[in-house]
Amino acid sequence: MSTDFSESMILARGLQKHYRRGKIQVEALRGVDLDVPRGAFVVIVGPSGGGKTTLLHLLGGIDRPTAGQISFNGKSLETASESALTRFRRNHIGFVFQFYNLLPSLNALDNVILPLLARGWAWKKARQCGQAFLQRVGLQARWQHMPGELSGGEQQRVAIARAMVGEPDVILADEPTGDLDSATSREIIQLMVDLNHQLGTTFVIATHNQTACQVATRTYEMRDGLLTPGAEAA
Amino acid sequence: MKFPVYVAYLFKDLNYDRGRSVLTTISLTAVIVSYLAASSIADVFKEYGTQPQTSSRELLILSDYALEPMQSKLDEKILQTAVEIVRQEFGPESVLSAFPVIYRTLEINSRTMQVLAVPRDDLITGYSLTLQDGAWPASDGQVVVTQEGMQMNDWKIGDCILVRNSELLITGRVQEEAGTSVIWMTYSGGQKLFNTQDEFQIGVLLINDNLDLPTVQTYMEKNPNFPNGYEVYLDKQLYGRYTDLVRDLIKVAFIISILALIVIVFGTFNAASLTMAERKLEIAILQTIGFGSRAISLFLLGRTLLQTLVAFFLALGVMAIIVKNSLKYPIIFFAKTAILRLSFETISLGLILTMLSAGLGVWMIAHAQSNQNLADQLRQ
Repeated sequence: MSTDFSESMILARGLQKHYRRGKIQVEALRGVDLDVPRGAFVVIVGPSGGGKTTLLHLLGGIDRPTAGQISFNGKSLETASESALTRFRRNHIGFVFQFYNLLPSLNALDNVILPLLARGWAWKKARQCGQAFLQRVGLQARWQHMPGELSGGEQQRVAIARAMVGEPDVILADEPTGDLDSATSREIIQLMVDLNHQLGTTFVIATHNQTACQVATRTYEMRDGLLTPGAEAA
Repeated sequence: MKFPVYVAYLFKDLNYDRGRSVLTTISLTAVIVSYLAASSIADVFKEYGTQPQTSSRELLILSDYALEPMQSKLDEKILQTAVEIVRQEFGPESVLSAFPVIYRTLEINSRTMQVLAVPRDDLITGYSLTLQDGAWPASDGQVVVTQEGMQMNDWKIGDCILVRNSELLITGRVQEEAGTSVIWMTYSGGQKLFNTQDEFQIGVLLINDNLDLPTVQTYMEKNPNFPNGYEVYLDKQLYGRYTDLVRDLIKVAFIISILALIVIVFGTFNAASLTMAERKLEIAILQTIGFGSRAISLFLLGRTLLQTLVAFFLALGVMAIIVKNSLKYPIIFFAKTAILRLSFETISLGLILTMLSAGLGVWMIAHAQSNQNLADQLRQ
């Protein structure tokens, strides 16, 4: 099968991921094809253990596929070196996790600017930029607060600001509302939609949240390691 | 990451984690103090095991059961018998002088010191003492003190010291080869002070230069007329009768040194690697964001080394207090004052080993983690 990688920002073909958990061989992905156009708001739904997180890890260069091809802007990821993958994550990807994964030793602003510091930005410039993104997520007044002093929704906003601050090409969000109540979940989804519209950032979200499906430009269902295209938004 | 940012984040991290940082620093301090103390004790043992031979011409007679000279009991008759035995075999000029010594270890001003009483003429000429300052005792109430004793007690010539409710005037400062803390006084002064008449602890025979001391010593010990229950030793080698024990002390010193090194290497390594292991998720998050393994390792290395350095200086402070107190309450060991010291070699070796072990601990865990799958680390 010949593939034209130039059409999509992220393109995956025949992705497989097998790993061992104790004595059991787990087939987390069993041949996944995925096409993510620039600026899309892609939502992947499906039960827990279906392979959503594994797929996001492969798309973000956190893990390598057992078989198949994955490319970002036409460049192959599966053969990239570790340092190339680190650079790729630093420059092109923003991650949002279910449990926020903020560094507890740093306040909200210091957490937000971490990706900029990884790129070698000066502190003052990074902090100005970080303040602007905290303002976007509505937390400009709480920049000095430590993660432990923020609610779950606020921590996830900080995590989104951190993912967005470097203006990456793609935000990969793994169950971003999984640990939040429904009202806060709606707010978080709306925030991501707003950022998608305002900045044109591509989002790939793995979630159980139905609100996310309603606002997605493209949906997929992930079940037993297989990805099935869902409805495409008008 | 730029260097000022690196330093700022280092302190932010230490400050946030101050509870654990303080605990780690305390445990590191304890490890380093253990090393410094063990090395210091090893140095003392080594010093005992390698006492230099002196050129003294004295033979000492002590009770054979006395592990410590204070336990020895002699009288004038035994001393005279010993003199006659030597003169009969080696000639009338073989013994230049023979004199008794009263020996005590006492607590003076809360410090343990030796007090030796010797006939005045023999004190001046018979013993290997050098008068550094002042004058020899002219009467029973006067004493001279070794330099170490003066320093330890902060005494000066002209000071009056209270020993067993008697005031004694310090008339001079003396130096002796063994470098111990001793108060020297006249024999008659010692008899009054310790309320003794005929009993003393050590009999000293000053032997003529042309005779071989070990030969005379062996002859005396094998002579059937030599009184039972007494032994003859070479002066300044009093502890030489414990030759095997002294030799063992060097072995003990060596073992303690090795143990000290093991303690510092594994203690520091363990503390550093434990800190790293506790932060696996944070390291994985930083890697996900785009920090390279090397940048993260450098950050953690800097943090650990800073903490270790603080612990090292704290340990030096603790050890300085221990050493100061060991000067205050010295241990008399085989008639010699054992004083703990911190040598430059011990400190520099400790510093190098501490830093290397801490660095190795961080590097090994960071290396192991960088080889681990990042996705697995995030899942954990």
